[in-house]
Amino acid sequence: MITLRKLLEARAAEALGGAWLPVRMTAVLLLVDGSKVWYVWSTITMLTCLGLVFHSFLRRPAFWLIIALCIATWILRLWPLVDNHHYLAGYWSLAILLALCVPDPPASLAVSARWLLALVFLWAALWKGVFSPDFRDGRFFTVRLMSDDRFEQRAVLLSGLSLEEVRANRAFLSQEEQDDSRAMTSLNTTPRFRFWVDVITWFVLAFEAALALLFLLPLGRGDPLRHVGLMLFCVGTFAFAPVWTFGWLILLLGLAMVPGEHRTLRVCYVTVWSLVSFAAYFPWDHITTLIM
Amino acid sequence: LIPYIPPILLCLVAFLQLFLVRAHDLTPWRGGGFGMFSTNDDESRLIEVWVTDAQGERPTVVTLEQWPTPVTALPSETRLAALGRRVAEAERARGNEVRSVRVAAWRSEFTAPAMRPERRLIREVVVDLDEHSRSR
Repeated sequence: MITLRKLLEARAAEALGGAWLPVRMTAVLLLVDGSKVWYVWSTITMLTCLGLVFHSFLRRPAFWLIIALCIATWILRLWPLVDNHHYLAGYWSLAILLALCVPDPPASLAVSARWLLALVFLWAALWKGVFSPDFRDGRFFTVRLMSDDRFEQRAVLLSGLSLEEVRANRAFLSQEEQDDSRAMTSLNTTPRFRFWVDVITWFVLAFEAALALLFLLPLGRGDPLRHVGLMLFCVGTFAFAPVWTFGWLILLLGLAMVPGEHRTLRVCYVTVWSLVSFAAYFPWDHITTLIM
Repeated sequence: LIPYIPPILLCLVAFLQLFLVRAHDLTPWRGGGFGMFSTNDDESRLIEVWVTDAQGERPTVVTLEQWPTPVTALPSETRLAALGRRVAEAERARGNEVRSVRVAAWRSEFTAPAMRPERRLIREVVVDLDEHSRSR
């Protein structure tokens, strides 16, 4: 039975063991990943600032109860437009709340983290490999790389087309009206681009399916295979995809699974965590332009 | 059982999202099912609105206040009908006669190898003056 006193009581940092680090890092993530609902954003910012200054707040179940309720409010207020990783942040906040109410918080968080990761990758792989035919045949990445202006320079690099040709492709895909003399009847691509689209399509699908399997299999908490796989996926994906806070979150979940005595693995997670945020702001497009 | 509560919640939401995608055309990118980056059918769908008065049917421009983005992410019959009613109210407020409003939601599909974008109708709803609506 969870009493009000238990909800307000701070657990000792020692009781959290290896889970104390990912709990603090979750507060950092919530602080930087703002909501579009002003009262949710204000409340989360205020609470996480308090928690990062006065650490005992982060060890109180009531703190995470309010955070979980804020995220639930955010999701319901903007439903269905909220990004998927905000749902995951809500589940993770709930997992921290529940873990702080049981005798062994690190074990509880490790179980929640493992199954959340397994299910996130399983659903992501199912959507790509089973439910979405336009992913499997390469149409998704063909259209996304050519139509999203954030990937403009990468499309130039992968296709060998000029920037003007990529922009003409974007206009074609977005059904913008074109001068009749320049009207395109089909997308302008190259064998090189089609090769890279196939590589990216199958690499992403295979990697996500493999990670789902690794987290579903009953391997040890510190098994390096799943952790190295997760870190490689994050470096390869979130350095380029415009959702690096999703990368931060799944790295946190991975870190929460690592027992406290596995120092090397924990250092690796924190390093990759920093790398992902660094890479997210790195001027890739500028570098690509210089190379070209 | 306690540590399994968040993963169970994730599964429930994901199954609900799958149902909404299949039954009500929610975009797979949204709704908590982790279908982002899996399909070109994201929330950038096209919504068209036509107003019928004594002279016949004419297309109308929908303002941002009448057209919240969740309509494009989940163009269910209820949401399209609600948009149609808001348009009818706005037209009447401007002194225009309105007999019915027709609202249609479209998605873009790309057919290989040309990848020429083609519109596919997701759902169309007609809101009559007597507030009864019918969908196609």
